[in-house]
Amino acid sequence: MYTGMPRGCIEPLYFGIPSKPLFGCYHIPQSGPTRDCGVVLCYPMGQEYIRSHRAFRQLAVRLADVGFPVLRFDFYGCGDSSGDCDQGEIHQWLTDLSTAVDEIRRRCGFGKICLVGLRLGGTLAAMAGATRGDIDGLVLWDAVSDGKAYLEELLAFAKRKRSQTDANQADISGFPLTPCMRTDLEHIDLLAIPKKLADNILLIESHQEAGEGRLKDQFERMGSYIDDQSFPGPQIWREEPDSSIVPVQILQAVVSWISEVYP
Amino acid sequence: MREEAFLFGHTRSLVGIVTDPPKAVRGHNLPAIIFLNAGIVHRVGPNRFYVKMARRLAAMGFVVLRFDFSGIGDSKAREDTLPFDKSSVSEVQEAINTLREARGIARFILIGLCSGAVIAFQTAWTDPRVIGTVLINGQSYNNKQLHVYVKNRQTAQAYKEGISYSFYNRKSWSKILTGHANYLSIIKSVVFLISFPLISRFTLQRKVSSEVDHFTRDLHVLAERGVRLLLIYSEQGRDFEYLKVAFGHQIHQSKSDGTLTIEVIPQADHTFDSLSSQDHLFSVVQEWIHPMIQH
Repeated sequence: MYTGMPRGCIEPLYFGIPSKPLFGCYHIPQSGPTRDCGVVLCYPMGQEYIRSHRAFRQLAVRLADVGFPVLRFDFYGCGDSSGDCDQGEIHQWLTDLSTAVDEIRRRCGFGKICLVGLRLGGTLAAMAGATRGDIDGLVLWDAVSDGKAYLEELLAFAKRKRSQTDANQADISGFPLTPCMRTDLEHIDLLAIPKKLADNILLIESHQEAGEGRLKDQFERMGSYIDDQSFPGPQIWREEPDSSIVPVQILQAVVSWISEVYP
Repeated sequence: MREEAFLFGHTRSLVGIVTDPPKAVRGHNLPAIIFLNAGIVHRVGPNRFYVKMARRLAAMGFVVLRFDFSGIGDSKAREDTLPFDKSSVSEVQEAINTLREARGIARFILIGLCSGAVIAFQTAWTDPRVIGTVLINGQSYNNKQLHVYVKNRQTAQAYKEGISYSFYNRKSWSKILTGHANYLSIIKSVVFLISFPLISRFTLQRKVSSEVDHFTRDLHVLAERGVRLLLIYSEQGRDFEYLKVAFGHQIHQSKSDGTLTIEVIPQADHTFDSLSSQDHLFSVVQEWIHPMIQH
């Protein structure tokens, strides 16, 4: 593999434990002063992962352009990482996120870490913030706050597509939904997390989901500084992969917020 | 099985993943397999099925590379003005060179879906190191008249279905009689339905059959050169129309004459959005490629 990358480049890499290697792209910050914070990007799952890949790459490039080292990575059983699609579990993905945080710290040497996650990726980022207690910033972009509602949405999508769904496995447009994952998703409730997730949190909302306002109240009660921004517009995770929309306004908002919080 | 991330190409900006087979099954005389992007979906492929298929093929003993063309997925956009149809073929050749250097392999099989199939076909024409291609739901293979003809056939079919539905629908008649229908759209559909068969008969069909003759001749020239070709079409995909026009009744035979094999996957859509259709696709490719291991 090519090493010794110049600034402003990306380095594709495998990291983590040899039995479960994870794939990631490390974006080396552009020339100029490097910011004192590493950013880890957390993709959503299934079809939503495929549909948001282009926007995530652009976000990583924009963050690296203003001086942030960025690692965007694929969770176990997703994208280029090891594991099959039916092997994903929330517990494993939280372990993966911790591995990614350790990896970016090892590479850039900073203590401060900001996690950016879309949909289920945002949920995992929030859960990791509560579990680890050492995450400084969080950007929760249309994060799934209610697992049951998310599950219903997935199953309704499978029904519309007339995919085969039974007690053992549902076919969510070419991605398996196992009983184990169903149970994991049913237990997701961001409002029930009794801990502070991070010092600074940005809530990005591009579609109205019940409980967004309550999330803000809950996180504030736990002592975080919250900013919330709304961008009514295309929900990139629902668009066909061919349209591959890049929501420039949202990306710019994320970059501005992180740049302001970590000057 | 081991996977490794690569940066390659003359500017070291193309991103690829090589899946190496376990040592116990690595076939030393086997060709390597390269997957080409399906449209703008990055190298994991639609529904991640490139990853699944790459791992299955590696488990059979093949070295497999999945990579992103410049400007797609993780690969950086080019800084020259080379058009995509040229740059893509040139980048497949760079991938071939990289695998030759890194793994010492001299023969290659290209697999692509949609635009990936078209690029695989073009590269096979250009580069004699390509000894086989799996062309999945390839469309007109740059035959412009064929593309126009199939699009018009599909439009005519959609108009026909729309008119036939409206004819037996009370609400549609009520709209027509009360002045609430979109008359322009109705007139457009009827004019198209009347004119399309005439235009087809006197102009399009002639041009199309000349293109189709050319395309099938190209396929046979490749086959004569010893390139093994597997053409796969999804029954429910729009691409099936291309196959019907290009090969007519022969498609129902799922034919194979040794070098050219045509397979139709029932109940599959363009991007294999169901697990069962993906499994069917994998088994077709595995069956086609298996004799290479025995040789």
